[in-house]
Amino acid sequence: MRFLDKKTVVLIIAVLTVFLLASLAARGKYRFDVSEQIITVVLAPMEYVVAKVGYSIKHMTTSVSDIISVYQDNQTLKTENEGLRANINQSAEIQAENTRLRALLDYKKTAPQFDYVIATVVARDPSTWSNVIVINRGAKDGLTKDMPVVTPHGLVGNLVEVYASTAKVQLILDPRSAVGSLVQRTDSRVAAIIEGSSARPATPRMVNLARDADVVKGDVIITSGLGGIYPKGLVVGEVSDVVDEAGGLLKYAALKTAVDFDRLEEVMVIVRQPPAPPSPPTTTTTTTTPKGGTQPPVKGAGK
Amino acid sequence: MKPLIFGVSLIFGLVIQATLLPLITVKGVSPDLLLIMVVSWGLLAGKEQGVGLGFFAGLLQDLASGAVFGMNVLSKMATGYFTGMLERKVFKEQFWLPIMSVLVATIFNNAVMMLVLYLLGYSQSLSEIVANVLYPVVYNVVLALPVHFLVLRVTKKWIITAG
Repeated sequence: MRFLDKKTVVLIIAVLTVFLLASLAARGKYRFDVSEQIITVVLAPMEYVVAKVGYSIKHMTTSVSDIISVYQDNQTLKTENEGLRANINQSAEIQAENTRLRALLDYKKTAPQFDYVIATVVARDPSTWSNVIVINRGAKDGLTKDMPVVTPHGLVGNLVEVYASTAKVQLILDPRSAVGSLVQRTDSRVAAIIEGSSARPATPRMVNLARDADVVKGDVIITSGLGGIYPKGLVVGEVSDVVDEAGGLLKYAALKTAVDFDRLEEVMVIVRQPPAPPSPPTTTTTTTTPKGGTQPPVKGAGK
Repeated sequence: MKPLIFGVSLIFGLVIQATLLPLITVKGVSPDLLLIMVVSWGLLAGKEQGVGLGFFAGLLQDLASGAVFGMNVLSKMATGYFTGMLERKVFKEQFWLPIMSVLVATIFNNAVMMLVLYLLGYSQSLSEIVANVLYPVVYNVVLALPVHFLVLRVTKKWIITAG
C-alpha cells in the first residue's frame, strides 16, 4: 500500500492552490478578471433564455392568483385613491411653495430627471456572503462601474463589474456593500451607513448608530448622497426594528427594504445623474439667513 | 461521452441555480442545487467524481456569482469527497438516503464555508454563523429527493456503465 498515490497528491495540490488563490483574492492582491468575465459572458445568454421562461411561468401563476383577490384589491385601492387625491392637492401646494422658496434662495434648478437604462435580471446567486445579480446590459449600453441601480420602488445596488453586454450588480443586501444613508423624517435626519447582514440576508442594517440617535420603527431611510456612488434621496427602506448592540454604546436599525429582492426581475441603471446641487449656504458666509433656518440641524451618529 | 455528460450536467445545474431558484427564494434563502448535485453525484459515482464535480461546480459558482473566491470551491470539494467515500457503503435507491445525506452534507458544507471565510479574514458573529449553517438545510432537503433520483438516472445511464 502506497502512502501517497497520484490522485491524493493531485487533490492536495488542488486544495492548496485554491486556498492560496483565495487568500490572495481576499487581500485584494489578485483578481480573477479574465476568467470571471469569460464565465459570466458565456453563461449570460443561456441564463437570459431560462430566466425569461421562468419569469413567464411565474407571471402566469401570479395572474391566476391575482384574479381571486381582485375584488378586495379594488376596495382597498378605492380607499387609497381618495387619500392620494387629498395628498396630490396638498403636494401641489407644497410644490408651488417650493418653487417660490427656491426662487427666493436663488437656487439653481437642477435637472430633476435621471437617465435610465432598463435591464433584465438574468442570473443571481443569493448565497451566503454575496448577493450579486447579473443583468443583460453592459458597456455597449453606456454602463460603467459604480453606477447606481434602482427599481421604481427604491435602491437596488451598484454596478461592480461591467462587461460588453452584461454587468454584475452588487445588491445592498451584500455584506460587502455600504450605502451612505439618512433618516427622511425632517426632525431626525440621522446619517449612517447601511450594510448587508449575512445572518439575515433579507434585512440590511443601518449600523453604528448612537444609542440615543433619533431612529424609530417606521422611519423611511433614504440615500444621503455621501460617498459619491448613489445620488441623494433614493428610498432604501423602512426601519422594521431598532436593536441595541451588545457592548453598550451603539445600536443598529434593521430595514425592510423598499425593493422586494426576492422578486427582482427588471432593474434600472442610472446612467446620468443631475449635477450635484450647489452646496447649501453655510451660516458663517451668508448674511441673509432666512428666519428659522433652512434646514433642521443634522445630528451625527457620533453624538 | 463521460466528460460531456459531466459538463452538461454541471452547466445545467449552474444555469438553473442562477436563474430559476432565485424565483423561489424565501427571505433571502434559496436552495443550493449544485450542492445537492455534488452530494448525490458523490454517493452514486464515488469519491473522484464527487470531488471533481464539487471542484468545478464550486469554481464556476465562485467565478460566476461574484462571491468571495474559494468558499464554494473548497466547501463543495470537501463535501464531494466525504459523500463519495460512502459510495460503497450505501444502498443507492433508498428513499431516505438523499434526505439524510443532504441534511448532514448541507450543515457540513456550510460549516466548511464559514471556516474558509474565517480563514480568509472575514469576521462574523456567532449568530450569523449559526444562521448561515442552518437556514438553507430545510430548503435543500425539500429539493434533495427529485435531484437525487435525476442524478441517479444520469449517472446510471452514462457515468457508471460507461466506465
